[in-house]
Parts: sequence; structure tokens; C-alpha cells
Amino acid sequence: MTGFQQPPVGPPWSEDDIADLHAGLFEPGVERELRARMAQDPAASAVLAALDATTEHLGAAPLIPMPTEVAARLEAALAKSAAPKSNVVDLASRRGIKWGAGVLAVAAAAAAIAVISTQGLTTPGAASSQPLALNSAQLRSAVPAGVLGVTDPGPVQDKLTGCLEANNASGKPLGTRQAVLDGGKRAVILILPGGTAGRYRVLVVGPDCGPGTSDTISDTIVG
Amino acid sequence: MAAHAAGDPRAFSDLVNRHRDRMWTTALRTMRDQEEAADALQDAMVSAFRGAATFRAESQVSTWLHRIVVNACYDRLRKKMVRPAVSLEEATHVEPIVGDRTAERDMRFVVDAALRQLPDEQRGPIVLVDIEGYSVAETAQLLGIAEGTVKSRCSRGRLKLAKLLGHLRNQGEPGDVPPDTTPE
Repeated sequence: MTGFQQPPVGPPWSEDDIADLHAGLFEPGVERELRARMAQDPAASAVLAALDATTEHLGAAPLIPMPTEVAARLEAALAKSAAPKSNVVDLASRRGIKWGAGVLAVAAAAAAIAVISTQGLTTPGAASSQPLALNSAQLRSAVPAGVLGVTDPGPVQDKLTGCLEANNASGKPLGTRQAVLDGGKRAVILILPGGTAGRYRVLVVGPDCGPGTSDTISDTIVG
Repeated sequence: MAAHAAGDPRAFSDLVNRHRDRMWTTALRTMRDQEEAADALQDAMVSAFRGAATFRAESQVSTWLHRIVVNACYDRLRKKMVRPAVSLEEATHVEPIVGDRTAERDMRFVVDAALRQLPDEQRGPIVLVDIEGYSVAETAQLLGIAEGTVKSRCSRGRLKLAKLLGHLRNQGEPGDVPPDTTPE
């Protein structure tokens, strides 16, 4: 197949024939000849000019900014993908966590995403995942792998709302996970929206966090 | 990319953030629907994340990511085929799209509104060739169709867009292009 078609006869030429010429559907020699003949024809010239203006218009089309909710959704999906590769948590700690593909629902509020699993995701209070082993420094620079999308508030499960309020936070966290910090301190990591796309509030509390007791270990915006 | 390969859990996310608007633009213009574009982009980025080891340093990261997005979009379009294509014949008469916003937003609005009126088989090659700057040969390879088919679909799509964007009037209308031929 050559990709070229038979030359049309004109004038007059149909708009389709002119558009085909413009798109390079004729052999180069035929195209040169047709262009020379169409240049003598105002109707054909006007259509060619319109097609040139169209491709120029398309080529200058500006980028479309990614909506914050889509950015947050991607962030969460990548965080999930990163989790199995983490060196921090061993494989046994992930037993019972089955990441489903395409299970994210996007909340309407900017950066406020809700991560919903249709099956198998760790449920509140479930003892299916071991605490993450982290050092404090890791919590100050990035969202730790294995928290976004997980619901494992451990000792603060029944007092989560009060715990959040005591730390001037509210709403459903984007992820909760029990952790052991610096080799021995029990903690719960709460990931909250950071106010803008790609940013998160990483709130780390102790097991006594509850109504009227913040028990804050660290509270950092990352991203 | 090197940081990602070295195990930095944030590196890939940072990489995606740097290129996100271009990838989003491609996905949205290809898929036409915001939810489907988001799905395709998520497929693409998870695939890219997992396949980062296959990235070859001689190609640009942006090009590599972009191709993965394009492939993910077309995988979805091929698999789903749920949206009835808009037939070109359904709308031989097309009203130019007029916006009233600031220049850049207006231009984007007008172009995207026009693109949404093209059937998938025309919009895809137009987006790749005229907006993304792929060659006809590259586009044919990406879409799995002959080069002549790419040209033909671009030809039909451009003609319709020329009218939608106001560069060409509909045939038969007063003032049809060319307006000033005055036969004796």
C-alpha cells in the first residue's frame, strides 16, 4: 500500500480533495502540480489557507491544567504502587491487604480524596497488618509508603474523631496506620489533606490520643 | 528517574507532577471524558511506575511517559468501544464555536469543544499529529493503522475542525468561502 491516492480533476475541486492534498495523500509530484494549479484558484486557495490556519490553531492549543482531585488520585495510586516495593515493611506485614485496581473514588473537595476498596482492604481495627517500623526523620520529609489508602488506626480506632479534634483536624483521614517509631515508640500515623494537590499533613500521635488529649508526636506538612 | 531507581519513594511522584499537565491534556483530549481520562492516566502512571526499569536513558523521560499515556488511552478506547462514535455525516453543518473568556482559556475552550465533536477515529490522529507533534509514521505505529489511514482521517478531521473553529464557512451558506469570487 502506497498511502497515495489518485489525483482529482479541477477546478472546481471539492473541499475533501483539497483537504486530502493538504494532508499529503497525493504523491509528492502530483501534490506539487495540484498546489500550483490550486494557487490559481481563489476558492481552493481559501480552503487551503483555512486548513493551514486550523493546524496552526491546533498546534498552539494551550495545556489543560490537571484538576486537583485527579492529581490527588494519581498521588494515591502511585503511593499504593510504591508500597509493595518498600524496604521498610516486610512481606508478612502486608498479608491480608489486597490492593484492587481501579478502586479509588475521587472526592469532590480539592485534595480531599477518599480511598475506597471494594474488597480486602484492611478494615478498621483489623489486626491484619503489622505496625510500620519507621524512624522519626522519615515522617518529616514524605508520606511513608504503606499508609495512604490503609485504615488501621489501632489504639485510637474508637476515639479517632476526638483524637483528630484534639489535634485541630477533622474529616476522614486519607490513611491511618499503626507504627513503631525509632525502634520502640508506639504511634499511629494519620494522613490528612495538606490543603493543596500533592501535599499532605502527616500527623503522628501516641496511643493515648483521644478527646481532649492530643498526644501529638509530630505534625508535618509534606509534599 | 535515577532517584526512583535508587528507591526514593517520592521520586516517581515528583516526576509525574512535573509532567502532569501535558499528560492530562493528552489523556483528556484523547478520551474526551474526564473520568475516562483520569482512569487512563492512572493506568498509565501505574504501568510506568512498574516499568521504570525498562526506561532507557537515551530517550527523554517526558517522551517515555507521554507514549505510555497515549498507549493507555488507546488501550482503553479499543477495549471499551462503548461510546458511539459521532459520525461526520451527522453534522455536515457545524456552527463555529465562540467563547467569551480570556484569550488562553478561550482558545483552549474553543479547541477542546471542537475536538469533542470529532469521532474517535479522527480525533486521535488529529491530537497526535496536529497537537502533540507526532509524525504520520509515528502516529500510524502508535494507533496500529496505515499511514494513509492516518492522513485520510486527519484530512476529514481538519476539514470539520476548520469549520468548527471558524476558519472555513459551511458550503452553501451566504458568504461561503471564498466570498469574493465574482464571475462575469
